[in-house]
Amino acid sequence: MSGRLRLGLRTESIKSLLRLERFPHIWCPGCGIGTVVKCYAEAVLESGIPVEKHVVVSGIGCTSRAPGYIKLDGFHVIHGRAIPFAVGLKTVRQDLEVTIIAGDGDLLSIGGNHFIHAIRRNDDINVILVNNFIYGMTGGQYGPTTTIGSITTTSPYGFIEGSFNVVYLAAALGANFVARWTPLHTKELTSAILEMFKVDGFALIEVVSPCLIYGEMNNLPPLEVMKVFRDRAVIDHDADLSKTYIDLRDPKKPIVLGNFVRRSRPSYQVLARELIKRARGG
Amino acid sequence: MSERISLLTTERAEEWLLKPGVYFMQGNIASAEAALIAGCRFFAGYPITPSNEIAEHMARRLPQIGGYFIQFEDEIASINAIIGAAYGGVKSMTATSGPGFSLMQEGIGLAAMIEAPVVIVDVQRAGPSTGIPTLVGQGDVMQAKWGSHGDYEIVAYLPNSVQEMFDLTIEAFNTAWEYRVPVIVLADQSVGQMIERLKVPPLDEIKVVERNAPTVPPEEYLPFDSRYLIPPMAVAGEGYRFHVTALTHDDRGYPSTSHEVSTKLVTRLVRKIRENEKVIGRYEAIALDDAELVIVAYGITSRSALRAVREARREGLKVGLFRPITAWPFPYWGLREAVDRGARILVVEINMGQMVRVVREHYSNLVDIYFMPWAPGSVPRPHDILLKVKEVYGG
Amino acid sequence: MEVRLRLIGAGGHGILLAGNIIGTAATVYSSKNATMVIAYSPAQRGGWSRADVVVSDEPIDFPIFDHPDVLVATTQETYDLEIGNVRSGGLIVYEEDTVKPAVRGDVTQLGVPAFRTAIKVGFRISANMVLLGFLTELLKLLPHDAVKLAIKARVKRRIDVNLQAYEEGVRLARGVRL
Repeated sequence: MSGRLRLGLRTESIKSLLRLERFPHIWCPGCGIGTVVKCYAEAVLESGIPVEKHVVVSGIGCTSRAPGYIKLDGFHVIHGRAIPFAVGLKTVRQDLEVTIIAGDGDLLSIGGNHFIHAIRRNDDINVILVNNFIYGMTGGQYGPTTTIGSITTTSPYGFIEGSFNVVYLAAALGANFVARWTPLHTKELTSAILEMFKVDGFALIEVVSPCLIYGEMNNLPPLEVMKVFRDRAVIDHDADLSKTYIDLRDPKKPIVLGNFVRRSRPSYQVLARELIKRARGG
Repeated sequence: MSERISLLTTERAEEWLLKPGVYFMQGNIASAEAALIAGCRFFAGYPITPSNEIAEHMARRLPQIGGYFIQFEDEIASINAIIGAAYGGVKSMTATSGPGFSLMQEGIGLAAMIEAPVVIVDVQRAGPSTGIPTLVGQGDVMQAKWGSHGDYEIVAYLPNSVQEMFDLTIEAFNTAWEYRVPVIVLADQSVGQMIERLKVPPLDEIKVVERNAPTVPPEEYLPFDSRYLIPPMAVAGEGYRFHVTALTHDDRGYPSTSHEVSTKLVTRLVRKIRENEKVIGRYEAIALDDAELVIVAYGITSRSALRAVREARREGLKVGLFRPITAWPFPYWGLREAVDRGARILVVEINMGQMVRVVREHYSNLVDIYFMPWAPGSVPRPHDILLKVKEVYGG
Repeated sequence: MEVRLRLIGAGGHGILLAGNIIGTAATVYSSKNATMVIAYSPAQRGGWSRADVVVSDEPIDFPIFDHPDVLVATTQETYDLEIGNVRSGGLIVYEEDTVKPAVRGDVTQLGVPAFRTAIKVGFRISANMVLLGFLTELLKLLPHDAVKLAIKARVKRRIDVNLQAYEEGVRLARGVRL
């Protein structure tokens, strides 16, 4: 099958970074993850950092399958643990540009403790968090970003819990770079990823993404969600993040996007290098 | 902008390593110093009694040697971080005790599955659950081997002295990197926290195993090449651009649901240890030649048993000691001769029956196997063991 | 010969350091073997610390013991806790000004004014060195030179004063017969 695969024009430019023998990929039609892969790959090629120094790490879930299609050193580890794996790798190999591509459930639920502590420590890693508001791979259970009232397989009467606003959370924890884009905003997303590579310290991009599974249960098919992005997106880099909570199902709520936070707190890895110099008396 | 430095600043590291000589040193600290000599340059851990001295010592010593110490948010992060560091090509370890060891199990399974060489020191304490944090236990023997789901093999060492905390930590690193397998130093609170004589040999007399790196060009490299029992290991950033997944994977490291691929992978993961069990497995035999009764004991318990053996011998009882130095692989072959002679076996361990099951697996149809359970929180005294020996003799 | 010493006292009395010096003197500065097992009262601060030290010419099979040959106690609480554990025929050395000894006919008991002597030398914290000198001279377990080298290796501050306290302890033991 892979031998007969023809790539669309949109993927031709990043062919050298794809594991073509693994196509077709597992993602549903209309899913936003493929676009994230494309933007990431474009950014890698444009970054000026040799491709062999780029490493991509993920946990478990639909999004976490991304490294499997990207021709870089890639680590698809266990559920929720992409961050500690990446921190260990980056700490001992600061020559590498380590990027995590994973989902909301992986990074914020089972991996939530690592997420908050990596930002507190200000680890020099990049995190692309694809937020599709649901556990897609396991069939549509609710997750830490599921919005109130949503129907999922484990909230058949409507979701009643609160949910994380990812960018507000990351900014409050002190991340050095915080942005939010959608698969409709590919140019902005690619340039945000490029900027993220340059950040020393924790950098986060939330990619708000359509999901077929979520859509089927909540009358929001992917195409509808892309229309929501087109119609309700508001780019406001200076937005008050406390007011950027997303609810795809609420037609009155804007989808606030932007590169919200730029800080220059030194990363843990830089401070650890300085600590080594002190310990060695130099 | 992140400064792009190439690797760890390990120049002049040897100047900072423990000098050869004789020391009066704690077991946990001896383990930490040994790790540094073995080449460990990354430690990730979470505070827990009674293994804290290892982390505290590493926090002070690693930066001197150009390595990194991170106290993580939990043990789960710690084990995954050292696996990440290992795939950066850097020797890495963690240290913990019972509850933390439990939390690390999924990560140990990951290390086994993706063949990441890591070392975990588990200073066993009294359990179950929180148990008695400051006091001894030997209840993690089974967990060390079977703690994560699925089929895999690990190696676990059983130090019984400060000297062995040192020697076996170095051996643990060597085994981990030779076989690409997680290796556990299964210490106990008594051995970890006791202080005694340690002899450190000259550095050039210490064997240190390094990574078997691939020699083929990237386009020919298969990260899990099943033509090898232990495939050469590429690490991140070398240009191999390889893929690693904890899913069942083929030679290329790509996920697969094929039973053929699963068979090939899982079989190799266990074969690489099982086929080398006699190379890896170790034991000490004391007064076994004419023994009518063999005590099987390990860790601190083996030292109490040794005194019991001496006292029994003084009283004319032909008792010997079989001390496994590796729990896994269990060195069953070391008991063979005594069993063939008809010697009976008494297993003494600080738990309700763990290693005794393994001894029974091998020899229960050949000789009588007795067991002395001992609840965690103290070490059975030589007197207690001697009483049991006499009971076995009398019965 | 294998001797089992139990040193016990309040946190801050330098019990663990004293044990460590004995062990270091035996293993590093003499060709003997030693083990040390440490225990603490459950409280993190203000409790007692205990060092169980075995010194032997032979390799030591088992470092744990319940009945010491020699007990050194620097507080009433720890003395009371341990007096019953000393083996029959054993020796108890207690801090003379802080411990009121109890009657036990089958052991030898000696009081040492460790704190008073240390204060006289100018450093109350050196009471452990006074006891160390006393024990070393009394038991002839280790050469004085070895113990002094271990003190120099292990003590971080005011080595001279500590060595002086040690000598005072040695002096106190002269003339004492076991």
